[in-house]
Amino acid sequence: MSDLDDAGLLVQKCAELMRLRFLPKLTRGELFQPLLQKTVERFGKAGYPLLPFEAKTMTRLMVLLLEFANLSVTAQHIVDAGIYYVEPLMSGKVRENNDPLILPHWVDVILRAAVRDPRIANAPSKAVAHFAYDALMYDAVMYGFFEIERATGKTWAPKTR
Amino acid sequence: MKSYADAMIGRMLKPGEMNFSYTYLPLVLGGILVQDRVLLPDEKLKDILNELKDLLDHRAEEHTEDTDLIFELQTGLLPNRLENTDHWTAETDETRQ
Repeated sequence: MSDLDDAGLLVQKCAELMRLRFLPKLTRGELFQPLLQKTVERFGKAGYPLLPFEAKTMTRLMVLLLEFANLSVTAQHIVDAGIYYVEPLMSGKVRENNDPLILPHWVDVILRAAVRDPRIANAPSKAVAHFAYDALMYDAVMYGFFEIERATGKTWAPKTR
Repeated sequence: MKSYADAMIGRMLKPGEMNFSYTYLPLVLGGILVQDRVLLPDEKLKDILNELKDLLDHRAEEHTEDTDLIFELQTGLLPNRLENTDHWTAETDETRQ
């Protein structure tokens, strides 16, 4: 098994870089415009051009997940953040057993990219938009359903067609 | 949920495959629910809610039996939930003064 197959080792390799240089820059001021631009571009290419309100709305959802990463900077709510609050992992805290480490998809992708090229920490918002957009979108789908279930009190089993 | 997320990402990667349902459920609807937590410096939740009221008028041609749930959620439950947030209440009180 290579080091890149183990999330714990990935975190160990990149923890300091992430904690000191990457996570503190994950704020809406840094992230919103690059992710909005990417969202408009990607949905256009996928055949469903978005209305401006739609693009901004789904960008907010993605930015929220990124702001969850470092609550001390962004002041998002810890109860809502769940696995997306990754700053403690990057500080060597939290892990109390040997269960497999579950990372948000976007974090996994960024850590792998950082192992290959640590310079991505120089521009976190561009790195997320360039390397981890699809992974962040995946996380946003999962978290979006969580929010809808919380608002409606219903469990969703959407059809895939 | 995971298979839905996989299917959604798969559609993102194929030109012409994205549609209204995958766009709104859950990304736009989920985004609507978190608007008050990711406001930009020049934005007010009150203005966003006003825009939200007209949103699906622009997508009226997408309203079918299959998408009825999305329209129902957007026009009913979700705005009500947002209007009950502390942020909205505070802003409304401020406006009334």
